[in-house]
Amino acid sequence: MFGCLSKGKLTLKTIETTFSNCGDFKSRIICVGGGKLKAGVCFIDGLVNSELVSRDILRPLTDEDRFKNVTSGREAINMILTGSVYSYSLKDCSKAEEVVEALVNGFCAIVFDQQHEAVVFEVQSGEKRAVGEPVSEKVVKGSRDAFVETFRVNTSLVRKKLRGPDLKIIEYSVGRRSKTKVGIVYVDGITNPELVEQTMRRIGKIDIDGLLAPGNLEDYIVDNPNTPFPQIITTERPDKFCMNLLEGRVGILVDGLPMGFLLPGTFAQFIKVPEDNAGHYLVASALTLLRYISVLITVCFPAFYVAIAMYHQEMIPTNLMLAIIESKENVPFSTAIEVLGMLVAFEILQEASLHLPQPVGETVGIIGALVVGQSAVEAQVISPVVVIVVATAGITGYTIPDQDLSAALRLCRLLFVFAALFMGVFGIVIALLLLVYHLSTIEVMGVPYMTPFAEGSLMRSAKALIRWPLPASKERDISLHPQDMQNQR
Amino acid sequence: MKRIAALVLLLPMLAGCGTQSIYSEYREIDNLELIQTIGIDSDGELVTTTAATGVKKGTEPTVMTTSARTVNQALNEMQGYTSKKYIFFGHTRNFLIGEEAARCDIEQYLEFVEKIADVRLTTNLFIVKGGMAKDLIAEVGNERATVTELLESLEQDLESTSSGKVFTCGEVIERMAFGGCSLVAAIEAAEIEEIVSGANPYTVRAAGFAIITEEGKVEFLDMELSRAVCLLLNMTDSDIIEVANGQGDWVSFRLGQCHTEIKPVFSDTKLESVNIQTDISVSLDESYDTDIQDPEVEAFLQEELARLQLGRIEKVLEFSKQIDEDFLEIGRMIEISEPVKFSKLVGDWKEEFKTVRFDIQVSVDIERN
Repeated sequence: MFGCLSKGKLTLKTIETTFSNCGDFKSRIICVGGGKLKAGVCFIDGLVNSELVSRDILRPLTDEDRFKNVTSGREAINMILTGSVYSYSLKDCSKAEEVVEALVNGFCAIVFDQQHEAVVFEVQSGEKRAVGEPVSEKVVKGSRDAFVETFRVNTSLVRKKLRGPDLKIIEYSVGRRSKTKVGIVYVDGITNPELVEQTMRRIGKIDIDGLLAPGNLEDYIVDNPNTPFPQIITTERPDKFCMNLLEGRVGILVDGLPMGFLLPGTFAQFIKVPEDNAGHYLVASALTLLRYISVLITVCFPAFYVAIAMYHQEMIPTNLMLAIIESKENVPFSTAIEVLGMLVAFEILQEASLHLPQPVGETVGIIGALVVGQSAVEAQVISPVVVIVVATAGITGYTIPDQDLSAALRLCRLLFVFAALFMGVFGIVIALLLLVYHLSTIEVMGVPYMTPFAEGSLMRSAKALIRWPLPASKERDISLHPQDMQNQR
Repeated sequence: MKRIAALVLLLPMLAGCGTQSIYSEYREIDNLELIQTIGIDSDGELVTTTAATGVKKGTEPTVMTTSARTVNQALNEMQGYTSKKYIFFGHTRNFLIGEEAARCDIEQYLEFVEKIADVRLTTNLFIVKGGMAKDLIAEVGNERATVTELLESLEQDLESTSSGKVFTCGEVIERMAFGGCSLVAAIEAAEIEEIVSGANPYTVRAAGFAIITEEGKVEFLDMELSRAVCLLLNMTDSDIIEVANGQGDWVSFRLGQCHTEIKPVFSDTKLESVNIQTDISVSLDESYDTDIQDPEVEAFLQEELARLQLGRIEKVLEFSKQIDEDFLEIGRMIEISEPVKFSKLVGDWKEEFKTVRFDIQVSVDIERN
């Protein structure tokens, strides 16, 4: 990152030159033990806890009694490293770039110019967002903590749930300029080592300026970047993160992102929620089935309406057909235009309310859906049936727990409407075939995306649709090839 | 992926969409004029079709009448009657044929239903007894109940009273194909006895069963005999039966379970007789002063009930022989139960049917409420 500037000999001047024009960089010269030996202190304001710097580093360093016999920088460094300065984490550096990296990570550096050496102390600022409730994954019955932007807090949240030493966290630094800390998390003895190896290799290959958004990670490590379907499970919830680790998945935590990533993601996994394991298995099974039905409804319902309203009118019960005809008689647009228009309007409303502050977003939703929608129906610009169809498809889409999957299905919904528009129910069948085919071709780190449905095992497919009583489900997901198949006796 | 996708996209060709786009079949839903009841009449030369549209509750349907040499042409001409709308037969519920038209060429009309894509085989078929379908559709119905609704209501009434059954066009076509004749629900227009102010004075009424044959023969069974047909064909769900208790009072029973079994008795390849065993269970509804606890009274009532049903069954079978048509499909039942022996019958079934002896037994069980 700062290579061009910091490759000179390690002196305070070199560091200062590296951070020239950086307003938050602070440096000063101090006399060690109040004597003649001088050292440079530098840190980045805001990243370090200034009280800790003053109390635990500067005060002991300038203490006459402690450093009265010190005559050289070498002696001072030795004394510091043996505990004359209070710090739980310190490191001896001989290269300027090491010091620079430490400084940007919240360390304070004491530079001895004559020895071209420095000692760095971890005195990170304690200012971080408190652990709160998940925002996008509502918890009904389960732990209510959520990942935050601080990497170490996130690793601690995971460690608190999986306390064993077999929870491994391998740390990387990704991003030429951002130097973002990335942790690969897995459970040794469960996770397939090949999966860990692949994840490490892919993260190691990321060579970008900054890892600042989830997409920066996803786009670089997935196998099929062209599919809209998510291949990495993202979660705000440490409990979901840990459940998947125990299943044999690899987790990724990124500093600055309040979420955890899990690999490999499969279709069935995106339909599951941690609450499935919290409730009774019959209720959880019914809800899981409901979510699968919702997937079908949200994708096919508007298309099905277009198909039967344009081509297969004999499929509609007579009384319903008479009601539709009556409601649509004075509407100037064709069914296709109405449905497509409403779908686009629905997306616009959703997008608008998403990017506005919450109270304003809610108001937009109310004005858009209720006021404009009601007025449009009353003015006979659109028929009420189309509003019902599009709203039903939209609402059923919200039952899908994963936002990325939901977005992909919304895209499919639009394509299905086009297929129905040109070929009726036949078009929907073709679109469904293509969708199933597409999903079946996706592989994530060697695991078929449609597993377990693609495996041809009825029993395993049923297990994805139905949540079995936990004492009866003793095996981990075989498609992940875990080292230990048994999850209980 | 590309090859598979191309194959899937070529699938429409296999469905006959290769020459023209399915898009050409596109019809906007609000441009459709739903036809719910079609009537067919004929004077021997021209076919007159009458169609009643489907409408929302409280609105009178539009009734259109056209004539042409064929049913299809006549219905096609109706298109000119509507301004912008497309006449749509996909929701036709009732197909009415006037008595005269049924005598002329019933097969032609059934063939029309069989072949036209829009009209379904599940469409109910009715024969208008002693009148024309056109008149019945035009006269019957008002804003309170359209002719379609009246026919729907009639169908439910027939089922609940077990005095008849509405057969669909598909069922009639199948029966005709097997035995050359079929039962069809008969209806007629009837004057309402007490007219509510402003209401249409006519309604539609069940007139038993019509028996139609390939040769254009049309016969009718009255309501009494229609009940016996339902009994023999196990189509009886519930009914009220009244019998005299022998002391000047009437007792009414509600019909419970009914089951009729028809078994052929063969001697080698000769059909000796056909045994008909009907088991009926009834429950007492109104007894007035009749002491139903008295075993003698109970036996008497049982006997009366059995006699009543036996008489009806005998009359139907006699009528069937009289018109020389096995509309009860007894031959088909024998064929199903004894296929080998049936195929070895010396004469054909029609000849055999004329002389076959029926042994009928009716047993009645009175259940107490």
